[in-house]
Amino acid sequence: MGFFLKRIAQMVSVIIAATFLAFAAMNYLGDPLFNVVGFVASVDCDAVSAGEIEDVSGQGGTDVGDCEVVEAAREKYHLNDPLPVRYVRWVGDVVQGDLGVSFKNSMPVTTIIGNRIPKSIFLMVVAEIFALVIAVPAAIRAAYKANRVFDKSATVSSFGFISLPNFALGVILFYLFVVKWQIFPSRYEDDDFFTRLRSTVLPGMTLALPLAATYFRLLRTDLITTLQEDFVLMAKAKGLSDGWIMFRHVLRPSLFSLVTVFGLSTGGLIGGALVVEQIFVIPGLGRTFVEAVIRDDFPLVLGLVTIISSSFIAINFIVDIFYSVIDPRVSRET
Amino acid sequence: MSAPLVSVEDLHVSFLTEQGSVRAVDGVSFDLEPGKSIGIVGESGSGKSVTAKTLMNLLPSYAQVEGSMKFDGRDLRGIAGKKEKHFWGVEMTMIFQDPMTSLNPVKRVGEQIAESLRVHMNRSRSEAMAEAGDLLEQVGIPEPAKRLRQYPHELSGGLRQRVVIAIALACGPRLLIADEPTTALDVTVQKHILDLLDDLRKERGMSMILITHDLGVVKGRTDEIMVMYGGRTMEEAPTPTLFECDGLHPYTEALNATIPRIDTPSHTRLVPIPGKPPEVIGKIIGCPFVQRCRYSTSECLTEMPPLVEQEEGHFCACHNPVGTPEGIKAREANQNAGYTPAGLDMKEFETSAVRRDSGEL
Repeated sequence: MGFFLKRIAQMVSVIIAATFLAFAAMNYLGDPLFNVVGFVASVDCDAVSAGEIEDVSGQGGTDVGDCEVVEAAREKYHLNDPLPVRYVRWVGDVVQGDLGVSFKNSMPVTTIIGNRIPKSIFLMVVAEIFALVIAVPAAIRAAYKANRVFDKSATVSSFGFISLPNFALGVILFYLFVVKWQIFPSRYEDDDFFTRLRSTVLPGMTLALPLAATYFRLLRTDLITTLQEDFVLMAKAKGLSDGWIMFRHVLRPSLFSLVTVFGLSTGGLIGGALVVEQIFVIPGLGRTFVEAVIRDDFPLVLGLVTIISSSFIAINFIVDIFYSVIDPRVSRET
Repeated sequence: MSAPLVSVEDLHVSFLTEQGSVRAVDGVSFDLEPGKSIGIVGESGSGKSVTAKTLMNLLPSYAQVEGSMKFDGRDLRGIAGKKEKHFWGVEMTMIFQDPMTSLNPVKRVGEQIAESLRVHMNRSRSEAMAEAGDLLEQVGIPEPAKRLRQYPHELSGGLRQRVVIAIALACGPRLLIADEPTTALDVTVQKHILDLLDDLRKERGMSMILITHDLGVVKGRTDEIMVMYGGRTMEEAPTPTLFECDGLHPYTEALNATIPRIDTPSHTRLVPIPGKPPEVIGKIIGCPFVQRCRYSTSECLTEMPPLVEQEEGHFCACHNPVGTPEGIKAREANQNAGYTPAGLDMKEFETSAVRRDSGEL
C-alpha cells in the first residue's frame, strides 16, 4: 500500500512542477493582460491619472477610460497578485474542475479540451494497436529464425520506417490511399464510430509504422537474448515444442524494453501528433496546443499542460506496475 | 549382460566457426545398460557437455554430427529428424549446471513442473499440479504446497536444483543426463543433491549419465567412468577398477591429484595441471594431452594412441600408461632431460605432493 501512496505523491509533485513551469514561462514570455485587453494593456495608468500623459483618445493611444478597463481586467484576473499566489489560486480552480476560459473565444478550456481529446486518444489507440499487431508477430518470427531471410528483410524495412520522417510517410499514404485510389475520405469525419475509424486508419498507420519498426527492433533483440538463456535449453530438454517455449517461456521476460518505450510513446501521443493532425486535418490536441501557444492563450496552454502531463504520468505509472507483472523479481517497493 | 539402453558409437561432433571447424567430440563410443550409471569426467572443453547435448538433440543447427547414437535400439538422429513429440523430456531428459539460470524466473515452480505433465502425459491442470506436489516431496522439499506457488528466486540454490530434478523426473524418464548438477552449489549441498540423484536412480531403475570435472563426484557413485580430453576418450573403466589404480592415463592421474583428500595431511598442496585444454581446430596429430603430459615421448607427438584394453574392462588411450614399465621409463627420461618432448618444463610438476609411484605421500 505504501507503494501506491509513494507513487501518487510522486505523480502529484511532477504535475505541480510541470504546470508551475508552464505557468511561470507563460507569464514571463507573454503578458496575460495584453491577451485580455489588447494594445491598451501597455498604458501607464499612473501617469494618466497624474495628468503627465495627455488623453490621446481616438488616435490609437490611451485615455482614462481605457485605464479603467485595464484596472478592471487586472482585478478580474488577479494580475496584481504575485506569481505564486496566482498559481495557487489557479490550482485551487483546477482542483474544482475549472480550467478557466480561453482568452480568444471565451469558451471554457474544459469544453475545448473535451471536444478535442477524444480524437487524439482515438488516434493514439488505433496507432498503438496497429504498431503492436505489426511488430509483435514480426519480432517473434524474426527472432525464432534469426538472421534468416524474413529477419533480414524485416530488419532492413524497419530501418527504413524509422528513418522516414513522419510527414513524408503521411504524405505518401495520403497520396496513395486518398488521392489516387480514393479508399479513405479526405475530410476528417466522426459522426459515428465507423466513420471515425475510417478517418483514423491512415493517420493511425502513419504513426504506427515508425513505432512498429522501433517495437520490432527492441522486441526482436530481447527475444534473441532470452532465447540464449539456460532455461530455454532446459525447456527444450523437457521436450516442449518451439511454440510453447516461445509463447510461454520466452515472450514474457522479453517485454521490458517494449513496454518501456510503449509507455513513453503512448504518453507522447496523448498530447496529439501535430504533423499527422495537420496532414489529415484532424482537430486534435496537437494542433490546438500549437495554436494556443502561438496565440499566448494562457488558460488553454495551462489546461493542456495539465491534462497531457497527468496522462503521461498515469501511463508510465501503469507501465511501472506492469514491470512487476512481467517479472515477479521486480519489487514494487523500489 | 542385457542390451544397452544407450549405445554411442564413434561419435564425432564439430562446429563450423570462422577459424575453421572445431572438433568438440572426436570418436567417442560408450554403452550404458538399463539402470546403470556412467560418469563422464573431464575439464571444460573436453567435449563432455557436447556429448550430452548431442544425445539430447540440443546442439545449435551449425553443429555437424557423425556416428551412431542409439536409445533402446532406436536411432536417436532419426527420432530428432521426425521431431517426435513425446520423446525428449519423457524417455530421456537432462538437468543443467546452474539451477539459478535453468529455471524460468517469471514462472511459478509448480507450473514449471506441471507443464511437462500437461504436454506429455495429457494431465489436466489440477492433476498435473497435484503430481508436481508429489514430485517435490520425492526430491525432499518440505512444504510442497507452498513451494509450488513460489518463484525460483524465492528458493535457495539447493532447493532450486531439487526443483530441477523434480522437473526432470516428472514424466518418469529412463535416462537422466546430469551435466555438472552440483558445480554451482555449496559443497555441503552438493553431497545431498548427489545422494538424492543416486537414491532416485536406484528407486526408479533409471539410467544416468553424470557429467563432471570432479573425479570425487563420481567416485563410489557411478558404475563406470569415462575420462574425456580434447573430445576423445582417454580412459574408460568400471569405477572400482579405476580408483584401485588411481588411473592408468596420465590425464586421469593428474585429475586425481587435483582433488583434496581426507587422508592426506592438511595444508597438502593440490596439484594443478599445467597448461590448458587444447582448442581442436582442424585435424590434430598425436595425443591431445601431449602438451601437458610428463609421460610423453616423441611418439606421442606424432601418433594418437588407440583406446586399448589394458586389463579386463579397463580401456586406456596412452602409449606410456602410468605405472607400466613404459610409463616409468618415459617419465624418468623426461625427468633427467628436464623437459618433455613437447617442450614442457618438468619443474611445473614439482609442487606435486602425492606421488604414489614413488611411494611418498
